[in-house]
Amino acid sequence: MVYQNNKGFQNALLSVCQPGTLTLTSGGRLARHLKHQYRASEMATGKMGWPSPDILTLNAWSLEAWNMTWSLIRPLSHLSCLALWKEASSRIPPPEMFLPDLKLFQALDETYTVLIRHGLPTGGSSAPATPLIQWRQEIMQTFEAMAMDLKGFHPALLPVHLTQAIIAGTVRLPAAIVLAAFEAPAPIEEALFDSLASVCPVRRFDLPAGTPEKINGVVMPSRTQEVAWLTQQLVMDAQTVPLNRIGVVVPDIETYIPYITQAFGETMEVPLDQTLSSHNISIGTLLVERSLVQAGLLPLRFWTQGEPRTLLLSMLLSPYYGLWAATGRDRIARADCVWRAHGLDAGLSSLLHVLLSQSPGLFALLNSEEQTLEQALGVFMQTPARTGAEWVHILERFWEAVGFPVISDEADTGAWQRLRSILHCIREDLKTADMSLGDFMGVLHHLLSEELVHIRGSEEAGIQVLGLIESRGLSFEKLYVLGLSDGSLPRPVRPLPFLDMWERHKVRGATAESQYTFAQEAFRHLLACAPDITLTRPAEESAEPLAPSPFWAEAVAEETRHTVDLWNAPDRVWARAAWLQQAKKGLERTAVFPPADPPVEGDLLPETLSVSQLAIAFVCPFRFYVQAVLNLFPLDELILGISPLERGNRLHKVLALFTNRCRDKGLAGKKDRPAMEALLETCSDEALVSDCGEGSYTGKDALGRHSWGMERCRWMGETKGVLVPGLLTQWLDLELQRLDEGWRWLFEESSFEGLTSPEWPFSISGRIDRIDYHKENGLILWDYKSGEHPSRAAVLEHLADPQIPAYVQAAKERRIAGFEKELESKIHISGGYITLKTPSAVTHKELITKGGVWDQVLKKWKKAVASLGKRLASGEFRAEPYPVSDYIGQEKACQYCRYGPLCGRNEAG
Amino acid sequence: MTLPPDNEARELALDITQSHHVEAPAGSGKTMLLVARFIKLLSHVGHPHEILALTFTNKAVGEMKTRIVGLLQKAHSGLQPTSRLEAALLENAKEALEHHEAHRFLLLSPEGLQVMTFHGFCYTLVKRAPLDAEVPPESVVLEEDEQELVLDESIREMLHDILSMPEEAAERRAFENRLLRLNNRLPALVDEIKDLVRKRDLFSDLVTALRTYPGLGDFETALARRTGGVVEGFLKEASEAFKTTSLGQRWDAFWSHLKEKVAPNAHFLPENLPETAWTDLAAWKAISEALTTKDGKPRQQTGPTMGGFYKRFGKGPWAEHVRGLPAEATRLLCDLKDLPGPDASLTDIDTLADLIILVARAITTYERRCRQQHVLDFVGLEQAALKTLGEETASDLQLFLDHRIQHILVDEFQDTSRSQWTLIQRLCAGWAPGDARTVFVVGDPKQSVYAFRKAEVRLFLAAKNGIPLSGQGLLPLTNIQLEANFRSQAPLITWTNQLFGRTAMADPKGAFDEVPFQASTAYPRPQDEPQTPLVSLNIFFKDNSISSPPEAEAEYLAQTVQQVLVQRPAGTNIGILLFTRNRLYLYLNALRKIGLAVRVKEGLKVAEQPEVVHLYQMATALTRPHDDLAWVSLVRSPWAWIDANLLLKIARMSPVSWSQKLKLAAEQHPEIERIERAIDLGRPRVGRDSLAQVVRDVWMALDGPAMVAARFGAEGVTNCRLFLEVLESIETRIPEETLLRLDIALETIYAPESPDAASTPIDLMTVHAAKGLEFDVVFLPFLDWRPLAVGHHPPYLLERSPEPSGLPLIAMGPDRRIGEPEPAYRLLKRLANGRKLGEAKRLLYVAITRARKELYLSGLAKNTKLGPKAPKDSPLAWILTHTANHDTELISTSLNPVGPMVAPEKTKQVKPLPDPVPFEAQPLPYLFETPSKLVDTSLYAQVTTKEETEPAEHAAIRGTITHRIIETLWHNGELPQTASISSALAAEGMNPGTAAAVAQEIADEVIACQKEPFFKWLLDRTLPDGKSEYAIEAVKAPGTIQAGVLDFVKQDGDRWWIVDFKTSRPEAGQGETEFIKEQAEYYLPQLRAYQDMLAKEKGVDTAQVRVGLYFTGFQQWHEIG
Ligand code: SF4
Repeated sequence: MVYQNNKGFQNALLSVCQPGTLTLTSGGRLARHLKHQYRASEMATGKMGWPSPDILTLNAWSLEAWNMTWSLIRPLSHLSCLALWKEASSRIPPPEMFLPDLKLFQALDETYTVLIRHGLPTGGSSAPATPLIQWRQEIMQTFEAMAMDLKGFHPALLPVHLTQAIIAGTVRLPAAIVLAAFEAPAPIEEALFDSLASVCPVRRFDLPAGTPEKINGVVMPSRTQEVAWLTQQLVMDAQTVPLNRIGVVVPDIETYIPYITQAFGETMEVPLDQTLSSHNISIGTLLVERSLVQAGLLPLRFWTQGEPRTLLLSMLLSPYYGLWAATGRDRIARADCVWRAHGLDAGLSSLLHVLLSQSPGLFALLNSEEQTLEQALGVFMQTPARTGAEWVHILERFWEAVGFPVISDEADTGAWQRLRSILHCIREDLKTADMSLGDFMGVLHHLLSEELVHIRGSEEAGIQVLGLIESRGLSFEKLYVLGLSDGSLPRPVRPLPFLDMWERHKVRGATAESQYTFAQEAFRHLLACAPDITLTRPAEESAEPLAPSPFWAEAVAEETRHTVDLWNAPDRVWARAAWLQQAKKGLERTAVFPPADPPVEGDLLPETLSVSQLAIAFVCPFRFYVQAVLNLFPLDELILGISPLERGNRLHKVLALFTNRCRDKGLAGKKDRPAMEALLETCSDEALVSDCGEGSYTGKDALGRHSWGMERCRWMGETKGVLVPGLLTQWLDLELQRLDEGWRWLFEESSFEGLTSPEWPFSISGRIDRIDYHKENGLILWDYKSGEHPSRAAVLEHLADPQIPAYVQAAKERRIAGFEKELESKIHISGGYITLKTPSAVTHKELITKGGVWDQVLKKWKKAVASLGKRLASGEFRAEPYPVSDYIGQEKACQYCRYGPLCGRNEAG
Repeated sequence: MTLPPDNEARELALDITQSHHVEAPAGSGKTMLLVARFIKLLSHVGHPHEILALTFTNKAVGEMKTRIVGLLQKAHSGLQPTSRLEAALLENAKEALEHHEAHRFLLLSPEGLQVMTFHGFCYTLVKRAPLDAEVPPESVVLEEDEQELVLDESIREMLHDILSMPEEAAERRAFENRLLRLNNRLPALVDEIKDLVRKRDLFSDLVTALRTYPGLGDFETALARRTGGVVEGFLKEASEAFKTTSLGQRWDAFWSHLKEKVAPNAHFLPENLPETAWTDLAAWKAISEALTTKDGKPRQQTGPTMGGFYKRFGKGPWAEHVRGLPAEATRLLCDLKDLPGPDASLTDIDTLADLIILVARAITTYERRCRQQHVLDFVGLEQAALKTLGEETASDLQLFLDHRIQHILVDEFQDTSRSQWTLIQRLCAGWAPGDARTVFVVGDPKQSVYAFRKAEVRLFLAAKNGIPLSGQGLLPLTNIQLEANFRSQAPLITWTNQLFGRTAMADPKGAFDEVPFQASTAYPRPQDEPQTPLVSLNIFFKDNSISSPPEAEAEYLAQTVQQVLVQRPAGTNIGILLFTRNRLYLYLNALRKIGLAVRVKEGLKVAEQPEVVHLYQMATALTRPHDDLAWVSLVRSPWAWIDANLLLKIARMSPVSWSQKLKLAAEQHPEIERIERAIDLGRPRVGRDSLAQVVRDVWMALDGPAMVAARFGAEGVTNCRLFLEVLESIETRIPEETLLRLDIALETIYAPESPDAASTPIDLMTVHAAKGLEFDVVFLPFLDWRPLAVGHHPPYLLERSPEPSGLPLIAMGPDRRIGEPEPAYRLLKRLANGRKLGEAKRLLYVAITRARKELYLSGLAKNTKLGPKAPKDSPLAWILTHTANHDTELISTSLNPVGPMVAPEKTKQVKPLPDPVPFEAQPLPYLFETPSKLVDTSLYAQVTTKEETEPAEHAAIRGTITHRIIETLWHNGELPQTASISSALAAEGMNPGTAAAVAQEIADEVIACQKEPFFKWLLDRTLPDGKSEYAIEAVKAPGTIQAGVLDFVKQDGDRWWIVDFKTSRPEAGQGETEFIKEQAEYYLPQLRAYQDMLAKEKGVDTAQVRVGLYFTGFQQWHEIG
């Protein structure tokens, strides 16, 4: 029969849809639409009830018909097939390079389906076979034999079996059959149709090739622009055409979905009322991509991915876990602060242990009354291998224990139901063979990735966005076809690696020729969808030119080029977008951002500032404000190995312990190097003992512990292999030299406080790492540095670091208790840095050696502190690295500062 | 019009019977040549897929496809040519179409032609032949950010594995040694390993060597051999240069003279000029010591302690020869001093072995992970593709490609990497000259600037000799040199020829992959060539007028751009090209300051834009309630600003978290209440909706777009929208993971084109990004760029030996705790630096040749008495050397020039939005209802219904099958076999053991039913008016349709019966009556709906429809009254 377009096609079909006639369609969308049309026509005649028309997809009917034959053999489920492929691959192992995994089985399954559909022998052809093809042939034979043993067959074989049953007369058939839209059936379908025709009247209604009244070709600069333009057209069309009469067909729909969803969301009302629909996108999202599902998988992933902190935290913070959601995310999240502070990134027991010891209150929040988190999660680890059904049971029990899922809306409900039904399939189909947790996770993930969930919308109301296949046989008033560029139509050739060349030439989509033929047919049918069709394509994407599809030139007499310029040529459709409305309003005014902070009022500064706080204020008052006044710090970053801060702390600790003990034991005086080195080792071990671990170097995980072990090696030198001196042994040698020169270690970690001046609004306190004394050369106040130390000029001229001047001043003012005797005479007092970065660069850097004068420096320094103090006291905490910015450079001051987003410095440019 | 000077060469290039190697300088129209050859080939091959065109970028593929298909389509539609050149092409295109009548569609379809990137082609091979490729089927190629994730996971796994090993295990020892050498900086070690895994193709043979050689000694020998090769390369160069000097030419006489004078150095200087074997290095070093000073100059002062000469040598006849040694020869000689000799300990082999052991482990772990996840990175892809082609022959190719490749064309051949070169060789395996198969490679070695992507320009040069085929010798290529430059004006070309031919690329050093310069000629040569200099060089230095030279340069640049725009004809386009991004912001700010809109291509990272930083912090805050800094950032953003005073008040509130402090503060401070209200929209949705959606909504609720637009303009809003798009695209549905992915994704995302710059003629981009583009006027600032980064030593160096084999060499950096670099390391550093400079010169060439008409050069220098002094080894240094040595009128030089004063452009008026057009959603034609759903009391209906005296699933399966049996009974009158019932039960998911028993139960049950009178009457097939599984629909109310399948319907005169079969039974201890009552109540709504539906369908009164449940288990009919 010949029709002009799909409308005629549908009318012709509806005219034969009588009770007793079975209509079989090639796709579900067409079947549903025909049913809708039928319903509408019945209602139009005033009927209140009617028998449902017998319109089904071929696949649905085949299964139904087969069931009614009561055959002793049955089509296997998808999961059973995968399990069979697995079993078969253990008998016929795959080539070494191929892992016998789910993806391989999936690929085999697809190849099997393709071969069967095309009526090709699965066991081989006469062509010479490569080892890969040979393997495929063998494994497929094995698969078939195993399926037979189970009294089953691959679902792809259903049409073959059904054909035989029809011929044998065991299939109940209707009075008449109509075949709709089967222009190019696969060979096995063709055989099935022939068998049907031999026993009952069959009429075929093929899709027409269309010649629309109007056809436009529009080229847009990019995909985003293409969709922006489409949106304009659609909303304007909607003024005159009922929405459901407008279709948008997108051959490469996956690529376009994000663009379309966003643009439609921004310009069209998304109705809250479920009786309304603005648009409907035919493909849904994958079930595995739903939040509920991802949240549900967390416990499995936690174990299969090495118990990472991030996944545990994600589970605790997930809104789907009722147990913790009830406690409140804000509170539970603080657990992460503890983990970060202890450098813990993985391991359930370490994570929980540190929490228990550091924050029992937080720890308690994680456990339910019935069982602890460790017990609840532990169930997954009790036995390494179980059947799929058992894993499902364990997972469900865990979920139940922790209140999963907390459902919030319809979408969640849908996802949960689908998830449960997939688990049900696993429970039914994987009852016997044992699998690891990883395998179970793999199977579950695979099934979840196969399942599409439709996003809300109606097929009979709202603008219809669909893929090429779904559009078959549908009819619209206006149709847009998007993305007609290279690779969209025809699609790239399917690789099908398990087919040989001869087979590929027989299989649809496996050669450029067949892809083209298919695309050509599809395009011709597409043109029958509407009288008014607009084809669009992007000229380029990511600055890469995109050539048009070959059908473009065929259909478009003259293409037009447009651009959408929302900013300079705004239009009425995009004027609907709330963001654009807001932005336009914003453009009309000019804002100063960041606004200047007024002076902060109130009692701001503590009476005493530590030297390190003062150092921060010197670099940047705003940073000082945030850290010292607001007490706000960034989250600890997890660094692989040892954090520089922690490294410095521990080093300080060893040095302090060591010099102190040396003095106590009189080792310093004796300069007994072996004994001193032994002591150094003892002190190192002591400094490395954890605050919360069990005799290990630290409470960290294995990697952290190992890093500290290495650190000890770095300190003490390598004992094996190449002899490299240790950082501390090297340091010890230098110290011994100094002891020889007559220096004495007086004190370590000496505190001082109350350092002040009438012009300062605060007093300064501090702690000096070490103080050395020499009869002639005087006192030196040392600061240990495990990294670079500031230059002499930075300290003395530019006053970039207030530390040493503060120490010297404190000493001069006799604020450091304990060495009054040494201070009796007019003694030279100086300060400096002992740098311990690498063994080859251990240095003692005295800033002003004997003979030099500190007075000038200190005077200048006190003035600088006074001026800074005045500023801080008046509440001026501007984000200006001050007063040394010129010296260190603002860039540098800000480079490693994490407060950039607060101070507004980034914005100022 | 006259023909281009290289017309003959161009025609030869279109001889499709021959293979060619074409050197095509900038602007010579090589893409057109490729297109022309492709089309010509099309008209001769048996199938279009016999031609394979390979390039490096998708962009190039897109361009080539568009041109080829465009021409074929034009020929197909019979359109007229627009030029003579096009006429010829169309003629060929027509022939091609006729020739491939059967495959015409392939020619008209871009997808139908084999024009691919190398990677695209590799992927085709790998997908088709996974076994040969040794790759799991269905593997996909990783994006760079995904590769990072897999790499991170692999490193973690590797570290975990290593730490689980016993202390004496080689890998553990290697790990610890290496860690200590890096001063126990684990992140540094991890970076080093990751870097080497990414480059694993470059040194795979070393890994293999270490694995296969029995002891480290052999490994060391292998490395030493390669090192010797490098040294010999340097020796050869120095020797050749020295031999041309007067001293070199008369060396024997010179030596005899020294001997005669009993000069001390006569003892250690060789009598004859040595050869260039590694063992001759010592002799060469002696010559170098004698003749040159430490700083690379010829010795001026000589004496026993100065070069070992006799006392009065300086006055003798040979002194002048020594003093007058040419600079280049002296430099080369001097450079020899530092080279390691064959007896030197080259490198600490144990340390090197440690690194390789570790990296080998990392590679194994990484590749295993890739295999498990069915993914490939680009290195893996290339290696896999090579495997498909085999070492010896490409014959297998036929087994997985549908057509044998007969002709290969390669564009931008100068950017070929070693793997790609091998791929080409393997594709050509078995080819012979004259067998109708051809190769056509085209490129410009002077434009080879992708060493960081493993391009090796030397391969281009090597290919001139032909393509080496395994076991077959060379497949010869005819060399073609193009010369005509269609792009630039003649004076510009002349100046470029001079700069590179005489200075920058004169005397190319092979070891450093420097390439010989080939000049080009302008075509067509216009009659009225401009006389004024077209190249302007502007040098900036600190003096009284200028305190900040970089700012002065930027200001000058902006003002001159403005001037060019005003003075040149409309349509003039301007390219500002940068070697690096260092001063990009400086230039951009200067341009913006005077109101010039600029299109910045891949210049500004979107993540660094301030408005994006705030959105990023918002995403972080919403994800991590404990990230106090992110929460405070949120209230210090353009859309939610609170001042420092209020911050202090909040800080002093009691809750620990800032997220909670803010909640509390909202109760007291309206400005925070506004913020909290917006956040509350998002907070509960985190983890449910996509993070991008949540952030977008909170941002909008805070009037974000307006605030951003007010401060940062449309550009800011565009940046924010791109950020949200990126966030959406990497959504994982686990917010913490999304955030982690975001960091990686943002690394490579640049700010989009600013809406203000939509129609600007000014483009700002890196030189790399400008490759393939052209501009009327080019600005090239920052010529003081120094390609050799000063500073620390990288932990290792990996370079190819300059020998033809190009084998890799690796050397370790110094031990961070103590060390000095080793000789091998110093050698490689020299090689690496030399190559970097070579590439920098080529980059300068690319930059300069982008200009059609004018070129503005600028950079910073030091002001010295002798004039401006450019930083060493910088483009400015090369240019200044050139201008100093070769006076040219084609360039004008200015010192500290001041650009013309330009007033900033007035800000544009904002175009208001028109009234929004209305849009309304459409009502659904009807709602659909299924009465069976009316009984669903909860989500868990199937679990909690009363049908359960057995497991829920079994009850449901039993029900399904019993219904099916009754339907069969009605249609066939026969009960299915028990075996069939059992099989059906199993098909529904019941396990086979249970199924057999249940099947028997069901069969017995149905047989019992058949004996029961009501059932018997119901299924009496002699009474025709029954329907089993009867599907009907009815209008429930306007706009609502009910649909359902009625188990059984029977007409009895004017009465109708609806029977709903129930297979469930009472629970233990429950009486039948009680059970029936319960079930009846339960199904009442459904049955009533059915009653109503059937009445409507039959057009009868509901009273005429009787409805009830039939319990098959105890054969009882229960009518609902
Ligand atoms: S980024 Fe710079 S200005 Fe801002 S707080 Fe940090 S140091 Fe101060």
